[in-house]
Amino acid sequence: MSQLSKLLTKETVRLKQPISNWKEAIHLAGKLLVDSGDIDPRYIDEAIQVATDVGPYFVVRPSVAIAHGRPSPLVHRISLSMVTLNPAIEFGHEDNDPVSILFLLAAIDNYSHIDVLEDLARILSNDDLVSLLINIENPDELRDFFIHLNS
Amino acid sequence: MLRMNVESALQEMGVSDYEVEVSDMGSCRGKVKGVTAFLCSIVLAVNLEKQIEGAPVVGIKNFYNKVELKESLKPLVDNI
Repeated sequence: MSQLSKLLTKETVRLKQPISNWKEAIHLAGKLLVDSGDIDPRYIDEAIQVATDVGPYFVVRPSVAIAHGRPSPLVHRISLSMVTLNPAIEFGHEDNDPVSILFLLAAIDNYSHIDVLEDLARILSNDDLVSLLINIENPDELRDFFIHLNS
Repeated sequence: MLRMNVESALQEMGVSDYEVEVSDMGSCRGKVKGVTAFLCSIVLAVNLEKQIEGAPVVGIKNFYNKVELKESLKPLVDNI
């Protein structure tokens, strides 16, 4: 989990956000990475464009979406943001809606973010951990969550 | 992310001789030769099926559910 706890910091996480639709959600997740200097703002438009063109395939399991653009020079370094949504919102995925956790992944190529995905998989393959994450209210609880995972 | 979970499901099923390649929707059509199946998000499956001839398209709901992945992979593995 070392990768995740390094990438998901106070700056790149917003918890229990009341947001009205999926585009706004991706926008907020993107703004966090822009403000951290991780991506160019145009990467946000690209992530929204991919989602609009291809559909909600990035809602990868019940309650969880991992939005992304293509690896590109718009990404300054591998980065990840997380916005938890309260109430959960519809992304248009018949089986996995509504979404409570949105990640935005920014990758520089097709392989160097694999360890981030492996860390994420450890959480996303476990329904109990996903429920815990959905209900986290503040950064201290998130820190405890990662400490618990790493122990 | 689907590739990683498919590889790990295949390993748990005792399959060792496999290759999992990532492709975008537009490129699948030209890759049918030698492919056992195309796996994708359930929301893309109908669309992809329209483009592909000669290999089955399998839609996955939960990329992280090993039970679903193994059930989807089993008929493909049995057929080889």
